[in-house]
Amino acid sequence: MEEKENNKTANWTHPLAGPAATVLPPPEGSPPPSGEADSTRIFNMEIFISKSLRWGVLISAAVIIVGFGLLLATGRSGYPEGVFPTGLSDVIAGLAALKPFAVIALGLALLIATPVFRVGSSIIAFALEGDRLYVGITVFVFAVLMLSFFLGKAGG
Amino acid sequence: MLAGFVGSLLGLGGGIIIVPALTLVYGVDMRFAIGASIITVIATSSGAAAAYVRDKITNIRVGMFLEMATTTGALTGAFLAGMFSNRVLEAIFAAMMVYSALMMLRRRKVELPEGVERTPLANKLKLHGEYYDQALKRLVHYNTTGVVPGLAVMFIAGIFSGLLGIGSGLFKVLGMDVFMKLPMKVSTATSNFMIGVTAAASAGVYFARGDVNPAIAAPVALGVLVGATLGTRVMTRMKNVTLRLTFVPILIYTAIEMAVKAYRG
Repeated sequence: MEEKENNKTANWTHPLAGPAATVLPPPEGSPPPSGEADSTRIFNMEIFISKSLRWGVLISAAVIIVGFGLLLATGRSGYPEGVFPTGLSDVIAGLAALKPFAVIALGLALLIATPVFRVGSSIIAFALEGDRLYVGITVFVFAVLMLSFFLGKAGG
Repeated sequence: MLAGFVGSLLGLGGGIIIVPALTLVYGVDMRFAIGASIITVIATSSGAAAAYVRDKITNIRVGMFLEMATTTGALTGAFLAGMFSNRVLEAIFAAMMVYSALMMLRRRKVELPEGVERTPLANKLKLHGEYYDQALKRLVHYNTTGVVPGLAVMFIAGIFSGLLGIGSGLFKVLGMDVFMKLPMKVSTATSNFMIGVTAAASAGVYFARGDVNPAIAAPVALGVLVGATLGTRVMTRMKNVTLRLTFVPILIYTAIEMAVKAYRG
């Protein structure tokens, strides 16, 4: 499935991507260059962000599948009725005992962490591009996220 | 799976579908349904965003910039929680939905926005962009406008997600489509990119509170991931006009649901 989709999107190449970019005139009827001289590097950043999201999703899905498989195979959650791990320490303790619910919870926690990780990695990506304005914007978003996690923990 | 499909298509989390499906069809407790739904939002968002970012439909800068408003809005909303009655909020929400549905219907024939002025603020923030449209089979250049109203709508969207525990992808798409005049595809893809971040903040709280039941969340998350993968494939091939028309009934449905909730209390 993955292969097929890549072929379809490969039918066009980004006009600013690849070594030919410098000699290619802008497509006809297109507006004047938007002043984004760094478009070639944005290309890399998109791949970078896309990959970090994809890996986050794949890893968490794999962990959830393993945990769900364990649950179906053993028929036991590893916890008393109506109880399940709610903190990282619970999850880690449960993992050591290979409790199915703990494995699923780890997968779900990884899934929750994926967008947060994406914001964090964007800071690095914008920094590599030398885009200070957006490094600032992304750091701000990351800080607010961390603050909400912290306040959520404290209040809940 | 259906939730993931529709969610990735329209830039929503799919919570609109998951919560009633789990509570009404499977008889799941409301608390666990909401817990599972917040996981769903993240799964849809991350799964779909990975594909849209790679295909360059998502405008990363617009997304990152607007996330400043959505995250602060969500935090503000969390603080305001309890100060307003949910009934009033839901009534306001429903009214805003109806208004937006009408705005969208008025623009139903617009495939791509035209004659959008390049505002200095949008220039400075490098918000203009381009994407290859698989339905139109050409590269589409677009300009971004209405940065300040867009930011304001995102702040409101954030407050609503903080207060009502929803992803509010609907508002994000509306803000980008109606005020910032982005092509519909860019709006939905960028909304998908953003809702994961908003949802992750609340998901941590739900998780700690014990609202995320692994036995319920695990199959739902897996189904949604499959649905989101299918949805992204369909969306890139759809026309902007078709996409917008698909959006309107969902808006109206949500408006009615909210209005009923507000009425019943």
